[in-house]
Amino acid sequence: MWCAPAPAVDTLIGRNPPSSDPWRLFGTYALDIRENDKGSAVIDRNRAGILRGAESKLADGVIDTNQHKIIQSMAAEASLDEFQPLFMVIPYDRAVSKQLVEKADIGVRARVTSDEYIIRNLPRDDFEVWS
Amino acid sequence: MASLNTLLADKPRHIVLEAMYLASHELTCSTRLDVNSVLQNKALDSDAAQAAIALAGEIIGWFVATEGKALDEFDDKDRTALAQKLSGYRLHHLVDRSPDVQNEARRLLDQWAAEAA
Repeated sequence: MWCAPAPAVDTLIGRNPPSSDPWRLFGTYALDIRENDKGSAVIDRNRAGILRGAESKLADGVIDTNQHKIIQSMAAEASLDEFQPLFMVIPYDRAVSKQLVEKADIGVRARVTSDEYIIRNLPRDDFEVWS
Repeated sequence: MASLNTLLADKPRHIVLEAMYLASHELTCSTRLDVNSVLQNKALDSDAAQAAIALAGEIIGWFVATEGKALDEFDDKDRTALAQKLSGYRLHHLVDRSPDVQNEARRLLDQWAAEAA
């Protein structure tokens, strides 16, 4: 899971680039869904990301081949109105104390100065959902 | 000019999936892709990851050539056109469409919708 503070922080510009700014990402998804944009490129990117994530979780042994097939089918065939943007609100200090958080390397950040984190496994007790 | 199907044919499934994700990311975020700027997918070894990045570049290059304009000149309509081509290919070539899988996927989606209502 790719994470950034909301509002996002870039040490030089004051705002992360669009691809790592939670508010802007939420707004882009919400707008395309609300306007019923069936050709939404960002929703398609989201489908592609779910398929990619399923490949990774299969390789890690987190899901089995049957679950992998079903997740991919759901991601590929879900209609636009079955998508809903949401925030996963993660208390930073607690996540850090549990050693869940990796600081994204400079090379993989959307911009070298933006504040971005990676959480590979997030227990359900360590986040709240807001949509 | 070759079609998207021709471009992706005979490539390993896991590399095509990764390449399509990377291409859609570049398409919507204007993020230039190189080996050092992509968080590696654990499903791929480093050679496969590099092959996926190269294939993503081919996909974008193919569409830029098809449209006859640079990627940074694409508008929403252009991005939608490529997204639909990628989505169609994924659905017909990369996802299991057997009735059992589709029925279970549909059941879960309906269940979630009912829970959210």
